Amino acid sequence: MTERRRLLVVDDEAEIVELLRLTFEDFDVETAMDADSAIDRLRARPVDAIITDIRMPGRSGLSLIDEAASVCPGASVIVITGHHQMLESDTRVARWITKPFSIAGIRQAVTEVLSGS
Amino acid sequence: MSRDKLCFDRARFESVVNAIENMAVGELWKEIPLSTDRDELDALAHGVNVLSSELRYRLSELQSAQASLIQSGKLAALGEVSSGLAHELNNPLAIVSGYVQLVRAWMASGNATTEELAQNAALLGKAERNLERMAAIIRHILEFARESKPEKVPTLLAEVVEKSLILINEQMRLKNIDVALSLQPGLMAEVNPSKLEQVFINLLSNARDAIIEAHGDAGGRINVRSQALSRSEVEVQVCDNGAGMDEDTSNRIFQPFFSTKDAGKGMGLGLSITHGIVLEHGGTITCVSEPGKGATFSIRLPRWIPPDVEPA
Repeated sequence: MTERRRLLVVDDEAEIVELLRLTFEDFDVETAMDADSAIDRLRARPVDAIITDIRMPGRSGLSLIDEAASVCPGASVIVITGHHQMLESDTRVARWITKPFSIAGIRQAVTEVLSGS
Repeated sequence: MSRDKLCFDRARFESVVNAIENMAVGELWKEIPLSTDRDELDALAHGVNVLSSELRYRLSELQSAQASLIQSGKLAALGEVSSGLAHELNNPLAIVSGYVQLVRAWMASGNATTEELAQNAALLGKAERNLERMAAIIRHILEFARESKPEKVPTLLAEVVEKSLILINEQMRLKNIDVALSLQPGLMAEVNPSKLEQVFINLLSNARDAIIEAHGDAGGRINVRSQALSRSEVEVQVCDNGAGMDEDTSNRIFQPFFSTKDAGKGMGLGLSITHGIVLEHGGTITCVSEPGKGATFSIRLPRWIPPDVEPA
């Protein structure tokens, strides 16, 4: 049996975190509600992909992405944002997804990113 | 000119002087009656009547300009909080839309177990709660943006403070600003709720900016307190631990177009509009501050006590 892919979901809204956990029930999902605890999770165990919000109290998602690049260099990054601030030129981010998002869409994005397409 | 005639003139003269004195204290609508003589005194009275009618006209223009200034200040306040609001609406929208999609996917799979049906019902319940959360925010934006009727109604002050936070809470949260409320329950004043809410949004925005100036993203604390000062007066204070200001600044802070912010970041109208609204409610607003020690804005308003209730 192949090992399940590991995801880290980061959002300051508990119900968004819960929604994504349910969306990726067939994945091994870690969750965090701010950038600092997300980095702690990454240090404890690396993941295949990080799904993160940008605007959060404390450090922003962008600062998390900066640090994750050295803590967990292999992880792909998918950003979910409430703002239509598409920073397509940011090469650290594999996909930008705006809220509200479609469940099928975000699953497809994660699958594509993990398969490298 | 006979002496009798002079006496008669003096009585008329005094009535003209009285009328002018009344105008000076704001009774612009009383015209000075003219005599049939059409003499110099009538010419003077006529001139004063023309002036007072001109003043009446200018006053009504000024009042309508003030009303539109307040309305545009309100819309500016709304504009300022709108990015926080978009975020605040988008989160519940994403939750609702996500849960509905999950439930539909599970239902489409056909053979749902009792346990799965219960889980679906729970998810729909969450979706419903988030719809209500969005509806409340939207209702409130509409209420606030609407040009309010000039009426003043007996209003619970705590309710106005709490409503003003609906529009600005998200910004506070994102900037790590803790807003602590300590509001004496049941305190009322006869106010225009939407205008008073604008007062609190302006003061809270101001406090937020002062905290960001002093501490950046590290955040800070705002205390909002209300208390009865007497049977006839209430006080609401908005206190921050932000950058504070020197005496010269705090003396000028309610002047129109006075701003300590960089060009392009605010017109310097927020606090002067705030001042105008408080005065219009028969109240006062003062500011106590020192550089590096935060600021406290205190608003005092005439208290409204419901008939047949003994005040606390």
